[in-house]
Amino acid sequence: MTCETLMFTMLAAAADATPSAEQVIEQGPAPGELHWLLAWVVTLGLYAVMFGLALCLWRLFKGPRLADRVLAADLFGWHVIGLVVLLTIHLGNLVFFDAVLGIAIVGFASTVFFAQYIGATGHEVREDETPQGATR
Amino acid sequence: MIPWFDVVAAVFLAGGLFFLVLGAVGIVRMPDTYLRLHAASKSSTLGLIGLLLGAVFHIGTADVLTKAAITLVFAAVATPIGSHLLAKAAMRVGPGYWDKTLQDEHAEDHVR
Repeated sequence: MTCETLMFTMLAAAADATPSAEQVIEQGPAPGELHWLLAWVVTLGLYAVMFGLALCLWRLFKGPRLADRVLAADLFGWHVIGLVVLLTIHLGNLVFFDAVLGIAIVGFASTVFFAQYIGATGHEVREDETPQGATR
Repeated sequence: MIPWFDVVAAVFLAGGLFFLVLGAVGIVRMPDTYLRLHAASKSSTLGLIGLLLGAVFHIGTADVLTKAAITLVFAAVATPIGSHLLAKAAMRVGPGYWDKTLQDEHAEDHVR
């Protein structure tokens, strides 16, 4: 057998083994695969979390006070946790799930330390802002 | 596991994702830094609960359940602490209220 015929034989065997869409909806997903509703929610959720990340980035750049930027960075961390959970479900590998606790702890610690920095120095006034607070 | 656990996981996941994105929308739309703290802390904690419950219902193992429970307890304790500290620090620098604020409860604390 040549390499091409071997490859075509394997491809034909795999095409027979893969269930069609109607079979998946009838019999349920294969073990290790996702239910079609869960796969759809995970895909839509990935787009939604990326949209949330873009919104957090906007507030990170725009926020007139430093507290707004720290808050946007903290929320960015929670969105990254959402991405980690979604990708754990999507890829099926459980090794990513430990990152959830790590990101949560580091995000909380950095928020606390930034809050202490803001309270200690008060260094957040931009050129177009009075020390009493935001102008808008 | 039981096949309809995936559907339950999808429902929890959808709810958690909705509240997470709602927190990001709130942090963009709110006109004041204290209102943004409200939006970010409350809805992101709810979103995390939904997401982790969805992951636990899909992946049935015990170590994922333990890690999710620890993360949820930590988030429920840490988010109010973080937002309270941020609000206190921002208040220390200056009031910076939204101009349609009805009442300033800390008026005697503003030394400037």
